[in-house]
Amino acid sequence: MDLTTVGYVACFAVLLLLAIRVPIAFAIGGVAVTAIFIVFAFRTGTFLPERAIRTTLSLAFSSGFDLVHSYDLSMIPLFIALGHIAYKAGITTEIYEAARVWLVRLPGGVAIASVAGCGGFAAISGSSIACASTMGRICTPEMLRLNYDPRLATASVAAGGTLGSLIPPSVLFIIYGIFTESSISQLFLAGFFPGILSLLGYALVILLWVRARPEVAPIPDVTFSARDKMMAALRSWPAVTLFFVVLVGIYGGFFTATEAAAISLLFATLLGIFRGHIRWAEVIPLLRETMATTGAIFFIAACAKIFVALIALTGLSGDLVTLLDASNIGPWTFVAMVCVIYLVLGMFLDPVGIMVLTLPLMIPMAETYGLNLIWFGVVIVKLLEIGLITPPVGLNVFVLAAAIEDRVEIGQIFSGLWRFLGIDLVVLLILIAVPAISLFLPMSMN
Amino acid sequence: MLNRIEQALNTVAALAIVALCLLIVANVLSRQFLQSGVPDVIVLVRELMVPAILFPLASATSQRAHVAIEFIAQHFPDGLNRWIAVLAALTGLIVSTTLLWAGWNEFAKTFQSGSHYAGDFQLPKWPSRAMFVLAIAMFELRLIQTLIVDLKAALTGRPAPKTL
Amino acid sequence: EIKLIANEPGPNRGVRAKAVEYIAEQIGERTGGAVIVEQNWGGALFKANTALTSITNGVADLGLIIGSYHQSEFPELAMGDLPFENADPWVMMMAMADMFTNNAQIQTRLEELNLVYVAPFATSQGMLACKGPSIQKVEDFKGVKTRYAGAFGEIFSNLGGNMVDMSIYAAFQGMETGLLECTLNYPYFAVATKMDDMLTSITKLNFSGASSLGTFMNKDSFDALSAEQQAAVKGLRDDVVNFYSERLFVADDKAWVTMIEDKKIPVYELSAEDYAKMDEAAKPMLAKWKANATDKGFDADALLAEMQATVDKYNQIKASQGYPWTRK
Ligand code: NA
Ligand code: NA
Repeated sequence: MDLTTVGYVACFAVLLLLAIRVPIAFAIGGVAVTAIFIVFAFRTGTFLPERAIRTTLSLAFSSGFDLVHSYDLSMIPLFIALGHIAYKAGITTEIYEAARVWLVRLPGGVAIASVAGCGGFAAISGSSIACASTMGRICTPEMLRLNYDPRLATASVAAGGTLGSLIPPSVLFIIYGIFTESSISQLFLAGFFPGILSLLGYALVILLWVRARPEVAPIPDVTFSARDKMMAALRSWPAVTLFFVVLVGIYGGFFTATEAAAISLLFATLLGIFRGHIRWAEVIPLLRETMATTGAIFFIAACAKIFVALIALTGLSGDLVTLLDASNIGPWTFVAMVCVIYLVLGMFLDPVGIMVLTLPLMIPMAETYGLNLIWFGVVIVKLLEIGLITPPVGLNVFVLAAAIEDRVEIGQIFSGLWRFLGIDLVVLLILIAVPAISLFLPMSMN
Repeated sequence: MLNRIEQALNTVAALAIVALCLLIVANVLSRQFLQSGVPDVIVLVRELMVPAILFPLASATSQRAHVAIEFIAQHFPDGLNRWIAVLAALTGLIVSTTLLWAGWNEFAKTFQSGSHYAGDFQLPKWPSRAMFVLAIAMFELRLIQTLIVDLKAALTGRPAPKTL
Repeated sequence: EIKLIANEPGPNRGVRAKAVEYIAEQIGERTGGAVIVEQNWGGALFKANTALTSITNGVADLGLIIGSYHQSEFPELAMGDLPFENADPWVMMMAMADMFTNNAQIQTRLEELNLVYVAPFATSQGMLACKGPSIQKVEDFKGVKTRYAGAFGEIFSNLGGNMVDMSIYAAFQGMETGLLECTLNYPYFAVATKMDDMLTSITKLNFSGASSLGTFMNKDSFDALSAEQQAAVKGLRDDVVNFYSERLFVADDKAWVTMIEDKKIPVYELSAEDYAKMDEAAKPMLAKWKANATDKGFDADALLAEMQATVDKYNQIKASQGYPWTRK
């Protein structure tokens, strides 16, 4: 059996195990470890189990341990803890009350507000996973409380989470910038309007969905006076203050995005304590709940990383990308094929893994077609973001499900997501057809 | 017994988050007001991430909190699903055994050689490896228990308990 | 036909990537196509901080190990990061390669680590790239928020710098928002990533750059090659050094022209007294390295003296004969 076949069989095995309800981390990790062992054991043609064990153990440890043993990723548990604490402290409920009071007549208003909240969170965090898990912890329970359909309450946030890497700062743009030697500042600027466009697209989806089926976002039969609205807005000061502290802190050069996570967690905790919503003795029990969810999230991500190493070893992604080289095609066919390849890889692999595996081969080709690499980067990041919400392996969906402690089933989240995926494809087409949307900001800043 | 240990592990995880949060905030303040960051803050945060993230894995397993895709399997007959649960535990054991074995090798190596990080305190590398081994060992124990419980359920045809 | 799995932590861009590709090509060419290198980029298999164990265990057959990530496990490689004055990348690489080929104790250690030495790498001599403050003498370091990674941070810190530990990539946003005022960088890299657009001053650091980089091969994989193939791999060393340093010098020269003439960024040099103070500030870091080297059974002072002598040797060769690619 050649290596590529091992890769295909592994993907199929993951699909099968996922379908029959084997936990996601177990399915991805178990298949990856087994297949890596097989690859190494038969590499030289003769069966070498001892060496294969040594290499498999080494690879599994470095992938898994490294992911956890990370300074930058500390922002994920910190932000998820922020979600728990802010909920307990009433901070999130207050802002949701304000959103409800102000947007009560707007169909799906609170879901739209959640997506806008994701956009705001994206401006302080560079990671889509952090965005989906934190905002999921914050927004989804509130929407469920307002009797929103679980599909809408989850899918809107899972999709909104993908704004995390499009709106700057963005880990994906940094990695893309390194692989293409293009200006990271320009890439950040280029992602801004495409992020806003995606956000508007998601809002449109929610609006149309609720128009067609009003029961998914019940509009209570109440009206609010101007005074009610003022009071609700005033009562949401803690959340607004928190957001501005973080925004000023990051863009004023006081702290990094990772540090912002710790600062806002401490800030929210103290706020909750001083306002009497949380007692000191409750902090540790609250954090214990948080850690239970983050453990499961990281374990999925660690297993996904081992799987990326397997795909690297089998050369599967390289085979896919060389399809581009084999055919003598025009630039638009090239871009179209890139889209197809990224959508396929996005079904299984995480964004960083896909970039590391494909960009080295793909970027030189893009250059021979004379494509603008900043614009191409926006297209690539948008494609990778779409991959986070496509089945079977949709990391945003998984972390969201874990963050809300599995209260909504993954199948339901996916079934709510197809509408958002539809608009994502439309946005993608617009971004490809109108490069100016991406390039306007970086050009005008030069 | 296992439950008590898990409770303790989860508490340590929560304390680790408190500690790394305070360390990062202290670093920001110290940089701003004392013109110098907290020594070795990056290494310390990374070390604390290991208990913070991995210690709760065991209780997540005993609560059956590992996320799975349900919507296809819910149409399967119960008997088949009970055998799938056995397969799931076995698949999990492949991962946990690999990580446990690998973690032990790594712990033994860093402990014997006394290797340490660079930086002001030159902190040893073995403690995070030791915590990794402890976390995965507890995870493995719970998976073995899950396997036994689910296998019993599959053989007897009675539903398995929701949590361990 | 033998396929070697290679892992490179960096991207396939830039001068060093060209040299990594060159190694792969040359292995193919010099073995008549019998040994093929399958290159992975961006740490697809493992990141730089686990390279030592990963190559030792054969996750990849071939790849880069960076000594600064393995200071206690691999002090002889980390030695390349110690400050050697006036040593350019070619001199540092030749000296490191010389030590790794000829020092008997390092040879024994490589056997123990299950590694075979292939070729060195080094960065250019560093520079402090600043937005806001200008560092014209060591006293100017005081309180300046400076990004570093690796050994040099300690020197700046001892001189009163407000050190911020973050990756060179995260430094971009840090420089933009003002979180950072200066960052340790390299001429070619600063221009390639367009950081030069925001710089207001540069201070040259006349120390050797990071030179603790080496391409190594897993010994089991090496032993599986035929004698001729092994000779081909071993024979790459000097050609890689020359290939890489020539291109690095060209790229750096071009970068300096861009920064000084096109972007009009003022460039400062530190005085001899400043370097004396920096030497003083480097002492604790040197002491740590010596402790690590002693731990691994080296006579640290002797090893360092040998390295210094080797650096001097290649400085003399450079002075008398010029670089190999300029000789006719
Ligand atoms: Na962002
Ligand atoms: Na996907």
